[in-house]
This record gives sequence, C-alpha cells and structure tokens, in this order.
Amino acid sequence: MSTRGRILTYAALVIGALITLFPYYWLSVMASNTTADIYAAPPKLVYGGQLFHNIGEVFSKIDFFGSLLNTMVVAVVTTLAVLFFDSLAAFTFAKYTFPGSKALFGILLATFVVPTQLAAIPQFSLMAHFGWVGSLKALIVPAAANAFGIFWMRQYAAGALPDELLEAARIDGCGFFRTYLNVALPVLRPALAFLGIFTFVNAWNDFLWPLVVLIDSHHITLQLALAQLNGLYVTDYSVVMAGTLVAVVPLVIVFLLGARHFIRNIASGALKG
Amino acid sequence: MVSASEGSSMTLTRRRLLTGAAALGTTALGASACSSPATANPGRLTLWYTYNGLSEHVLKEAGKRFAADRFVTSQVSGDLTQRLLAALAGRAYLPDITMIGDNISRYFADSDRFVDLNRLGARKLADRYLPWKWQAGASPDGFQLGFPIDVGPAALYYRHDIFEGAGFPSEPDDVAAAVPTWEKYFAFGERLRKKLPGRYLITDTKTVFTYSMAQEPKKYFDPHNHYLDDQSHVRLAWDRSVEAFHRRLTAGYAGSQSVNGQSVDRHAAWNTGRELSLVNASWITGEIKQSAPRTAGKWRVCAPPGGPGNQGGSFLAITSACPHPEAAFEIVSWLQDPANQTWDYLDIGLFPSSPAAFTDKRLTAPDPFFGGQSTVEVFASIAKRVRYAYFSPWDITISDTYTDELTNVELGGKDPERAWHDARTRIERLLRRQGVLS
Amino acid sequence: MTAIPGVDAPPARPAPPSPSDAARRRRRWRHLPQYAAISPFFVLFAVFGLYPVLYSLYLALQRWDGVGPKKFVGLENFRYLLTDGQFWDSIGNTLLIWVMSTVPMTVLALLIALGLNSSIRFKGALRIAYFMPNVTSIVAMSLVFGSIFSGEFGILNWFLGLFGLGHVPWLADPWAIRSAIAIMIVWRWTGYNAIIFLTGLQALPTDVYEAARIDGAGPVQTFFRITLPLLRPVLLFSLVMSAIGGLQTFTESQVLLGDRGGPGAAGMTMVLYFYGTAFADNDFGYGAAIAWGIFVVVVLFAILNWRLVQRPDRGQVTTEEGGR
Repeated sequence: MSTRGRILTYAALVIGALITLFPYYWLSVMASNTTADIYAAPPKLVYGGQLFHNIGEVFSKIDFFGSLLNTMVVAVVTTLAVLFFDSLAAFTFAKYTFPGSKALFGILLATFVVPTQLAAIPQFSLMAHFGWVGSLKALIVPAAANAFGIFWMRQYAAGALPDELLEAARIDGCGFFRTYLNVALPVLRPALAFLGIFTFVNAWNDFLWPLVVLIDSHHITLQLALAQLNGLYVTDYSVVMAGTLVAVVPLVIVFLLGARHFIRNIASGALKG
Repeated sequence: MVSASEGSSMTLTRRRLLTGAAALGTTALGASACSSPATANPGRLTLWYTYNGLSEHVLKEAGKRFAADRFVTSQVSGDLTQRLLAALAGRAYLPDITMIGDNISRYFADSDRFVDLNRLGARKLADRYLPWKWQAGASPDGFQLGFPIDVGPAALYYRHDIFEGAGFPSEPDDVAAAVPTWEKYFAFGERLRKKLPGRYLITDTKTVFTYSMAQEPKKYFDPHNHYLDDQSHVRLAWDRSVEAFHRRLTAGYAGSQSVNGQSVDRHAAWNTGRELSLVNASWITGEIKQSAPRTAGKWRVCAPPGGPGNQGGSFLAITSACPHPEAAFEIVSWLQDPANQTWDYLDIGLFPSSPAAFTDKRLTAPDPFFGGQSTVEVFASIAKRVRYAYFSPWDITISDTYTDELTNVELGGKDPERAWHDARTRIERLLRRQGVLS
Repeated sequence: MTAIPGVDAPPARPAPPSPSDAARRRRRWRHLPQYAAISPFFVLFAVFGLYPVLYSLYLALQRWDGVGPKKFVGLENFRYLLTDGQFWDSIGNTLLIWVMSTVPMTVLALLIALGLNSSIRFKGALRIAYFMPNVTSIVAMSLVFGSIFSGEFGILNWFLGLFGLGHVPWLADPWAIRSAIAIMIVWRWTGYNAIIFLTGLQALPTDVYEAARIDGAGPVQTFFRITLPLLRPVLLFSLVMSAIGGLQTFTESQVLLGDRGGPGAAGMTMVLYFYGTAFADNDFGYGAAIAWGIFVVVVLFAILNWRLVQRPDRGQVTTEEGGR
C-alpha cells in the first residue's frame, strides 16, 4: 500500500473508532452534569463537576454493590456451566456417532427458531412451581446450556480435533470423559475463551427475564436496579445516566482485561477449522 | 496414563452430572417436592411499591411502628402491573399489600384475589377522602379493592414572566378568567403566538385529548362494562385536539416519549422557554422542577380551561394471599392517614387524596418555584370539584389508540377523518376480540 | 430421558448370562456417556423452552387477561391475527429495519476489516474500540441514544445544525425512527462483524493473491473477483446471525419509543407488538397467537436462509470452510 493510502486508511479507521466510542463519551458527559445542563441548548459537550454527586445519588437510591454482587454471581456461574455443558456436548456431537446423533443435532439446530423468550408467563409459573421465583437459580439454571454455544463449538471442534489425536487417547486407555478432559478441552481453549466472554456479557446484560422472575428488591441484578431509577412520575435524568455509567464500567473493565485474549482468539481460531 | 484413582474420580463427576440431570427431569415432570409460598416473604407482611410511589420517610416510620407485624417493603423495578400479574397468574410470591395504579378496574373481575377493605372497616374511614377517589377504588358492585393514595388534579401551568412580558394576563386569577374554556384558550394562544413566534402553549394533540377526556363525567364504558352507545363526548375531545393542531398551537412532542412516558424534547422546551404553558396533572410539578431548575420563580398554576379533571393516582390493596388482613389494613390506613399523605406530597409530590391534608401549613406554604404562589390551594380547589367517572379496564388501550392516531395526524400528516375512522375501527375490532362487544 | 433410570447402573458389567446377551448389553450401554454428555441441553430445553412454548400454543386458543379464568376461543385469535393490520405492519417494520441495518453494517464491517487487515499500527486498540459496543448493555445505551436522537436537544441534530443540515425529527418521522433504530443496531454489531470478517480475511490463502498480482489485477478487481467470493461462507454466517437477531429487534425500539412503537407505530417490531399486547394490554391469549405468528415468520426466513446457504458445492454456514 502507498504511504498516502495507508494514512487515509488509518485516518478513516481512527475516525470510525471515535464515532463508535462517542456514545460512551456522551454518557460520561451527561453523568457528570446536572439534569438541567443535559437539557440546555446548545448542549454542554464537556464534563461538568457533578459526577461524584450523581454517583452518590445512585448509591443512595439503589443497592448498587448488592446488585453488582448478584450480577457477578449470575454471570460467573452461568458462564462456567455453559462452558462445561456446551463444550462437552459439542465435543460429543463433533467426534462421536451414535444412534440418533444426527437427528438430535438437527433438533438442536431447530431450537434456534423456537421463540423461547416469548414464553415468559408460563416460564414464571414454572419457576413458581419450582420455588425459584426471586432466586438467582431462576436465572442460572435455564441458561446453563444453550444451542448456539453447542452448535458453534461443534463447528470449531470438528476442525480443531484431529481423529488421530482421539485415536491415540483411546489407545492410551482414556475413556470418553478422560478424553474430553485431557485431550479435547485444551484444544478447545480459544473457543472456550470466546464463548465464555460471549456468555458472560449476555448474562450480565440480560434484562427482560430477570425483570419477570426476580421479585424482591433486595435480590436483583444491576440492570434491574438501574430500572428502579425510573420513577413513578419523576425521573432525574443525570442520576439515571450516572447509574448507567457505573453499570457499564465494570463490564468494560472486564472486557478490556480480556479483550486482547478474546479478540486474538476469535482472530486466531474461532472461524478456522 | 489412567490410574485407578483417576478412574473413580471420573465416575464421580459423571454420576454427579447425571443425577443432576435426573433431578431436573423429575422436577420437570411435576414430581417436585418443593412447593412455592403464596406470599413473597412468608411470616412477614410485604408491601410492593414503585420507586417514588410512596414516601421513604413514611415507609421507614411504618417499619418501626409495625415491627411486631414484621412489616417489610419491596421496591419493584420495572412495571408494577406486570410484576403483580405474573405473581397473580403464578399464584406465588404475592405481596400482602400492593400499590395499584389508576388501572385498578382491571382487577375488579378478579376481586376474589383481593380483600374487600369494607370487610375490615374501611367504610368508617371513607369520609376522610375525596368521594370520587374513594369510589374509584371500589368495583361497581361495591367491593372496596383500593385504598386511596394520591390524586392527579389537572391545572394550567404557565410561564408568568413571558406572559407578563408580552403584555398578557399573567396573574393566576386573571389567566384563569381569560381562558375558562378550551376555545378561549386556543384564541389566547393564537394572540400570544403572533407576539412570540416559535413558542407553544400546547405540548401536543395528545395532551388536549387526554385532559379533555379527563374532564368528562363519563369515558368509554358504563360501570357495568357496557361500551357507551353515545360517544359524542369522545368525538368532541378529538375535534378539539385536531383544531388545536390546525390552528398551529401544538408543539408536537408526542413522538419522543421514553419508556416511562416522559418526553425529553419537552424537558428541553421548558428550559428554553419554547413551551409557555401546559395543561397537566399535579404530578408533573416534580418533573418541571427537576429538569428546568433555572426557570424557578417563573411558573404559576391556575384553573385549567374546560373545568376540573383528574389524571392518574394510585391505590393500596390487600391480596387474598395475605394471612393477616386486619394487620395489613392497620398498616394501609396508617400509611395513608392525612398526616402521612402530607409527607407523600412533601417528599415526592404525590397530591393528597385526603382533603384534611390540604390545609396543612407545610403544604399551603408559598412555593418559591412558583414565585411564592401557594399551588396546593389551586390544586385542592380543582380536586374538590372533580366528578367521579368510571375508568374501565380498556380505557388506557382505547385512549392510546386515539392518541396514536392523533399523533399520526399531527406528525404524519394523516387526514383527520381517516384517522378517526381507523381509531374507531381498531378499537371496536379489539373489543370484539376480547369479547366485550358482540 | 428414558436413559436416566439407568444412571445408577454401575459401569462395570455384571456376570453375563450368555456371551451374545452380554454383547448386546454392552452395545446398548456403550453410548451412554455420549447421551449423558449431550443430555443437559436437551433436558433444560425441554423444561424451560419446549414446555413454555407448547403451553403458549394452548394459551393461543384462549382469551385470558392473565389472572381470571381462561375462556376457550378456538382459532379466533389466529383468525384475528391474519387480518390484523398492526401485525402485518410490524412484520414490515421489522424487515425494513433489518435491511436498513444489515446493509450498511455489512459494508462498514467489510471496510473496517480490510483496513485492519492492512499493515497499520495500533491494530489491537482499534479492534477493541470497534468491538466495545457489542459488550455494552442495550438497555443502557438505548437511554444514551435517546438523548442523542432527541429532536429538540439531541446532540446529533445540534451537530447536523453546525453544517446547516437542518433538523431531523429522529423520533417523530416514520423513516427517521426506523433509521434511528437501524443506526443503533449498526453501532452495536459493526465491530463484531468486522472482527469476524477480519478473521476470514486473515485465513485467505496468500498464493491466490500472488497469482492475481502477477496477472496484473488491480486492488478493486482483486477485491470483487477474489476476496468477496472467498469470504462467502463468512459473509453468510454473519447474514444468518444478523437475521436471527434482526427478526427479534425489540429493546432498541422499546427504550427509544415506548411500548407503542412511536408515531405512526414506525418502530413497532414484531416482538415489541407481542410484548405490548401480552404485557402492556394483558391480552395473553392473543399475545401467544402473535408469538406463533412470529415463529412462522422466523421459520420462513430460516428456510430462505437455508436455501441461500445450501449451494451445490456443499458450502455450509459451517465457518470452518473459511480457513480451507
């Protein structure tokens, strides 16, 4: 590429990235101003001095740390469960044929189109029957394995796990489970990293289902705690924005810590066989 | 590579996994041993409320006062109706006491899921509250389901400074006298707009329709849920809304409604002085103060054009899952005694439904945001003159259908006659599907 | 689930009555670990997915306000659905928003991927920046976008005003509403797709490019003749993913415009219509019927996708093709 071309490419990419990041900047600007400043015309484009005051308001109005802890528990446990169940099933579908395996995988694919999120009312009755309403179990158990993860990881495992390797393990006397633990899991690590972050993020951001099933205000997730800031008649916009900011930041930090690994893993292997 | 110990640990893992799966399977088949409790916190009396739905100060006091009843409060995130319906449908995790909004009539058909407050002696307290509000909490056959919390008397809010600067009537009594009817209000608006182009007296057609209907003694149904044959009053409100638009008096902010029904554009317009006046229920005061603090001292309120009307307001109800309804009623009636309703107003702007609170010194004190005006007196005199109107379970959907079509006229250039026709057709189709119309 | 009673059967075989019987038994139990390994998903799906969905089919035949008694109405709800203009409009809106978001998203993602694939510095930081929206809560960012798109005080209109581009009623005009929702989807998913495309690009064999260069093909020619065809499996993967997500567009609309989809109901998507009917109007029977209507649309769309993907030369969505 010519130097000019390179500079142009670079400039375009940087401008694109700045536009992408702008909403975050705007969020932090709104979170640091008063509500009146937010509605001012022309808009205030720079930081105001209200950030800590607004965050203090958030902390006084909602149980931020309690809901943060709940969210962490849900996200971490769900992620671990998904990684285990999905990779185990994916490994099985990718490397074993047994009576009905094809049909079962077909059924698994078919579940993609089943509108599960549209069944909140019967799901609530079900949870009530189990005695799980208001409990974090209601969020974790239904999400502990999913079709997308199995499908996606099976595609990965099919290419990444040569049959010779499994054959060698069998000759060494490894049983099915042993092979999964000692042979498959290490090879699947890049895929696990991707699926892990993907699951974690989804569990963190989930809103509709927790809204239905978590009743007690003392056991709610961060997204629900945020929804509490919207009042019956009055909503303090700057405080809502400060709440949004403090809810977004932890996940951004988690992402930044894992990002290089995560993106490199998609880049290095997620789509390759 | 494989040792005996490793082999056994492996089996264990597998067995654990399988028993887990088996347990799940049996629960799925309904063989579960656990049964869910009927109320959210068995052994306690739980109250559900929304954020800013009741004064935190009063709730804290109640927690101390009713400690023996093990009274706990739970602030619901998101829409309270949805949460309550889910719990009612699942017959589990129900609150003992719950807040209910102005859509209370939707529970009348399921009154067996609630406690008739008259059975607990509520009738004795009825005369403490506005009669029309008390009646709104009762089903047509006299089942007192709701205990009054707040009301939403609608007034005319206006910018005193700008009215005055333009040489128009600006003191509350003068403004009220100048705009007793919507017709006069529109004419007033036209004159003002000539002086101050680009500013508006009316938020959008939706507010004209909503508050016109709020002033009517009947809405869409009679108390026995028969769709009214004569809906000429609806047509009147519709025509009035369209007229406001045709005379170019509306700003048209209906589009930017956030989830909780607030318009961010409107907030901005209060700050910039583009919206000079609004007809709205009393609960908007907090929103104006919060989003436009720099306009402090410049607002006034007075009687609205078209007469007294109410919009919004909530109730407390006791569910039949509650094991100690008498104790729950004690709490409910204490929470809403006139002194505590005063706190609801002072803390979060809920206008009292008990006239005894209207004369409380702390409420009648001059409000600097309104230039020292005693706004409570204005709202109180409106609230006392409101007439009872039956609010059916379908009223919100019907009203939303009309205002959706009005918005199409206002922002989408739709022909008003076609819009009216579409709204009627849609409403009647919907009611037929729901078995209300045959 | 019939396999479950056998869970506690010890893996060690008991003394066989006859050799042939034992062999048969062994064969029967031989795949038990595999069935066990895949069972969690199927059990969870049966309980938390299939059962509620079947129940919703039962609900679709009822009239139910969520609390009182259900009333059987047969196919009444479905008959109504077929002539329900609002439902058809919501299908139209959903598809429009899907097209309006997928086309620019794919083009932008491709351009970004091409840029990132060229040898430039700070590639890592740029990738993170582009990917960030994908991990951020939609509910949270929809609130932010609400203030960006606001007609009166929105930062976007202020910015456009600086260039004399006038005042777009983002949340009032039907097309502007759909654009606003599409912009939010583009914002959220472009980075994700760019990373996926980048992966595909990096996996392309270099010898083909070498040959093209020797043949004297220009960069544009190379892109359209070689890169795009080779990226086909990756592009299709992205298309399928965006269709699955796009048909379920809901949160952006709801947070930005409320339960009724804004003026002209331009932001009323299928799932939002379902949600509003079931949870705002408490019309659970009809809500369930809408859910099944959505299901049919999704299945039709899936079949269409499948047709697209199933080429003669067995190119599957299976992205493993990308690397070969």
